[in-house]
Amino acid sequence: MRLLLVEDCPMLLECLRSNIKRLVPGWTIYTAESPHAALNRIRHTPVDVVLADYGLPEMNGGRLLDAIENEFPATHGILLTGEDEAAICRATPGRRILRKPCATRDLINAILNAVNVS
Amino acid sequence: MRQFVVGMLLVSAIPALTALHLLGGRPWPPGVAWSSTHGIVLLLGLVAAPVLGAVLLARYPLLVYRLRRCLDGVARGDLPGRVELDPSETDTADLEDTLNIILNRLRSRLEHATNRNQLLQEEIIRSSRVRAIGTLAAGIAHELNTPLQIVRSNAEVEKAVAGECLGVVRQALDAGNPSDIPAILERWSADAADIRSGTQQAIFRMAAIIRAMQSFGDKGGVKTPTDLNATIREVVTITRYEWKHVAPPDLQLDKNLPFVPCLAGELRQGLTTLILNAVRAIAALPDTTPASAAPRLRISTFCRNDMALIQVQDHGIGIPANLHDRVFDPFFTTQDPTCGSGLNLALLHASIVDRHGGSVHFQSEVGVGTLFTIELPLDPTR
Repeated sequence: MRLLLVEDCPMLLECLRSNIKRLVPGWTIYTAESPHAALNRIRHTPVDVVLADYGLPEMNGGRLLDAIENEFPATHGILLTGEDEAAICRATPGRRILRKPCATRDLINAILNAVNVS
Repeated sequence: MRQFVVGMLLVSAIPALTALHLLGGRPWPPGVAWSSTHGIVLLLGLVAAPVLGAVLLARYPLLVYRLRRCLDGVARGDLPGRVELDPSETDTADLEDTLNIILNRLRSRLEHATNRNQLLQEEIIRSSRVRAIGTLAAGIAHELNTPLQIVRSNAEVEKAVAGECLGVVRQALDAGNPSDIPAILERWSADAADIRSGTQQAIFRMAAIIRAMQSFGDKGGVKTPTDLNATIREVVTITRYEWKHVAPPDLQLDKNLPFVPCLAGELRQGLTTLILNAVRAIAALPDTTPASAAPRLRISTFCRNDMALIQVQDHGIGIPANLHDRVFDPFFTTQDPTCGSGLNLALLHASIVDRHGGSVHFQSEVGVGTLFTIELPLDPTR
């Protein structure tokens, strides 16, 4: 599994990276702090799943995932959000959403589901 | 009034009788012979009538003048105490009474309205503070959710890592390799410490946000010596969600700034307004200059003479010159009415000027930005 994490809070980004790594050591995990960096990274190295925070600089996580899936149809996007879930659902209908704070196990399951369902 | 009518009758009757005598040439009343006595009485009447009339009539212009002066005063807004129109006469007493009843009613209504106004003003201040927190609530929740995510994830993973370590220790024991155990425990201990340090940082972050929120709840009706720099940092913490992707503020705070006697709650609210306005002015810029550019929001504190100054400067869209006069007007807003009440800057002005004896002013130019300055007196007796 190749995973790209996009989160603008470096502390949370590092926490998610190391905790997922601890629970599933076999995964390859990339990180990006901005949509711009995420697009650069994915153009350089394709990934299976992108897990993005909603409140990102430049563009929100929903728009970033739309752009990624548009350019890389094999990549699956999941939103992780600390905002009001209902508002995010309205803003990005049909998107897989996980709400902060969520268990790392739930994150991993959601990632596995995204890949298996397709 | 009765005297007036009698006076008027006398004044008009005497010349009328005189005229009748002169024109008709007939003795009057009938059967009474015309004599020189009649002539003298008539002459006296001719002299007495205007004098008596003038005396009687002069009272009324005076009465009207006094009444008018009193009513003009009322129209200007000063309510006199008890009014006496003409102390020497009793027939104006009714008018005086009515006037005094009206004045009393006006006075009590005014008193009632003033009290009500005072209460309403206090309520507006209270509710706008609640509104300020409400506006920020979604952002604050998001800001809390991020460290909370770290705490939750770390707690879960720390438990998993400990379970895993226990498994490895058991395996080592079962395999008869107890000498491996110290190394296993050391690895686990280092990993657990790593996780805990992340958790601790996240908890500190949450605590800072919660402290800032608590400070916003402070009613603080009494001026207390306040660390303006700490107050600014609290407001910056609580508004982080609003500025973080737009304009992280550059804080230029004077470390030697003395504590300033102020109503910290009102000041916090005012600073929140200035920061949110600045962030919106920057967000409204057509092009998004790269984040690496010079800071577009600066908050500074310093002392000048016997005043402490707080400046909030943005390089946002600026305020058009034709709106400068209305910036502090209550209910004036350039934002969507659902978003801005138009009260915040008016409240800030009232707070700084009326309750702190300070001043608040701004300079602004379209396309350049806006600089707001709050000046607070250092001397509490002012």
